[in-house]
Amino acid sequence: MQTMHSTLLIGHYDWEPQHLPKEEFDARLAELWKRLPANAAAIAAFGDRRSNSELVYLTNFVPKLRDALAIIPRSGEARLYVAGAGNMMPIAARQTWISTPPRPLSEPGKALAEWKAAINAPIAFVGGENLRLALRNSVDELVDAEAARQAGEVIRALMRNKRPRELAVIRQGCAILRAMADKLKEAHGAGRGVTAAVIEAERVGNKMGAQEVRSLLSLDGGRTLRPFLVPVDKVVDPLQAFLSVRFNGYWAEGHVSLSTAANPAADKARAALQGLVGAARAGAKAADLDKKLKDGLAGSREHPVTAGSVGTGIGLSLEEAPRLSVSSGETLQAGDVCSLRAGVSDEGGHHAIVSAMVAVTASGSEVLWSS
Amino acid sequence: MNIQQRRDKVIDAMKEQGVELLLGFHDNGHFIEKPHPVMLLSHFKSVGDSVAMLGADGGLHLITSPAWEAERAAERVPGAVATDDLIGELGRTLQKRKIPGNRIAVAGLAGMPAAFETAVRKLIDGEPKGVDAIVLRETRRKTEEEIGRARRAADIAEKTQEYMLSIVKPGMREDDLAAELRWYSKSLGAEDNFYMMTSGPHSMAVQTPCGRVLEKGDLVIGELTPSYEGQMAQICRTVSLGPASEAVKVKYALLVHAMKKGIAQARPGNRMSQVCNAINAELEAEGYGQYCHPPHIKRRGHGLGFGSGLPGDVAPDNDIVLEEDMFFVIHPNQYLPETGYMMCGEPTLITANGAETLTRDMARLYEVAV
Repeated sequence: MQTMHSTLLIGHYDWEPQHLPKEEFDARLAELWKRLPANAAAIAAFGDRRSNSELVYLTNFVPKLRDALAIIPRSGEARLYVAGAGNMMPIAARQTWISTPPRPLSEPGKALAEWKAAINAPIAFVGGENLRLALRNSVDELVDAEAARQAGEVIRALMRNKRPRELAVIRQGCAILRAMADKLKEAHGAGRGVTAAVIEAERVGNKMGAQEVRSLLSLDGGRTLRPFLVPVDKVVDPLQAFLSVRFNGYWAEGHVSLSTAANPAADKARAALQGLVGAARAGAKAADLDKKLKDGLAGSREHPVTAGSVGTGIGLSLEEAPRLSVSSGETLQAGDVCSLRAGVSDEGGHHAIVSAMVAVTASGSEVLWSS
Repeated sequence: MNIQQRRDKVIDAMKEQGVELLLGFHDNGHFIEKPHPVMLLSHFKSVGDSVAMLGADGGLHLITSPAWEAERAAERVPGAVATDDLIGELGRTLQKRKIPGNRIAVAGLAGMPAAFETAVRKLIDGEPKGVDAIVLRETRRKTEEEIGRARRAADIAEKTQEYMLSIVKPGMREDDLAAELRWYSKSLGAEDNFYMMTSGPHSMAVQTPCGRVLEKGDLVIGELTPSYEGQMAQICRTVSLGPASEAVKVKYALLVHAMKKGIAQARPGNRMSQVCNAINAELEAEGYGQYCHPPHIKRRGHGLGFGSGLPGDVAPDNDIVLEEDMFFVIHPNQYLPETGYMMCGEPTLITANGAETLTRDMARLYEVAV
């Protein structure tokens, strides 16, 4: 789910090798080099506050404030460049396994030009989808287009197939998500106002070591979702909320539908989600999953927020491959971690969205978290 | 001034330039220092990319993303469209309006991702006229709504600082303290908070909080910058964990004194550079002239987003003339060799009578018993 981005990321962003040790990144890079063309001498990964999955995958570094660029040669020392003054570099150094002290980043093109001159061989480039046109052009002049294309494909494939340590971190993220959802339920049950309840849930995530927590909420019983903008004291029942948490780089997310009275929409959505999760296994096509969902909804109108998609992959981004829209043509693979959703908005004015985080295996899927 | 009057001023400027339609863009990366044409023209803070379309006839249209934002967008701009295909919707809207490319102006486009800018340029038949400077100029003064929000944000900042004093102690991680304060300010109504915070016995500058564990004798320095409905206010404060040294007390008093001198210069008709120079003069008189310039310091405050960063930096080279309803923070945050970096700063509104600091209590050195 798309959510509001914060102007400055605050949370546990220091590298925590007990979760993702240096060997993990060494193994990722070894696999990357194995799959890239032999003449690709270095890979450059760019990231900003909003979009940074490739950079984090290779370095563990999440840009909290401004842009960052890592350049990792096939042989030799990697280097991290972070936008900001020189006195900010020691803080940046805490966030990554790269031991060479970070350097201030002025423009990605300038850093790439220095490397290009030094190694005189193709450099692949990944990330950078938010680069402005002028910066993008300067980068494109320096990197090898074919190497960049191949590197993009390779790293997306690697990121999609979650490794054991990645799964372990995602499980911990799901445990935080579970605690947040429990707190939301408790606050709702205690009659707290809608925004107060959601914020209490967010606080639980913070206290459990999250890097970031985000939420969406509904003021109208689940008909629409919106970000927090101002406090709303009224108690909303049913309470529909979306909670997400980032832990050691990896996201977990979930839709929560709470009601003190019967909510037929939630019942239908839960039943449909159960069927959807049951059908999620390696080889399952997005279109087939969509049909399974629609069968489960038994003619009920899909919620506008979830209509047209049964979910997406989730990991270093809230939304990544596979994107399971009806027309995507995607097929689930063993190693995928997905957020699957079912939403109902019926003619009787009942609304609900529920979801599950699943790890796809060859024979089925393991539920990591469910509404 | 209200937002309609602001838009009317922008429209006057558009007409002078022969512009029939202004497209103000912003992506989903709301950043304290990034001008935000969509918020400036519509007061709408979007989840995704968005474009505000202002016609010379006064009509305002908003296209935003994602599609499920439709109702919230329409609450702010009646008739607003929310879509998962912003470029497609913009293209269809431009086709209907049939306005020649040379009569379309853009603001914020150069701050959008490359692929987005390229797609917009294809949609516009001709080279779009960049009018970022016009939009910013005409939005240099805050609207009544923005000033009201700034007051709320300043109140939240002070209450969050009070909360900080009640919880900060040795043994806490910086990032745990920062996350708790960010949460607290949100519980008071801040939808975002630019909170830079650093601890240590002798810091060189303020930075993003990290996993450092607070210790007795640290100075905890920070700039709390809550945003209320999209308008930020900032206070800068310094907290000593345990009794502060005599040097810290004396030098902090010097910073506060310098800040007051700067605030006294913040009045209509004066230039921003006068505010900065008044602060620097006090520090230079005490022999700290070399620390009043880069690399130690480059500005003594700045405008406050989200929206327009004007009136810009409190810097010696900023000659913008101060006007009523301009809003910015004055902060003589300073590295001094005897103490390390210390912070004090107040959100300041220019009124007809001079500067109004929006805080109840001006910065002072806080000492927390440990």
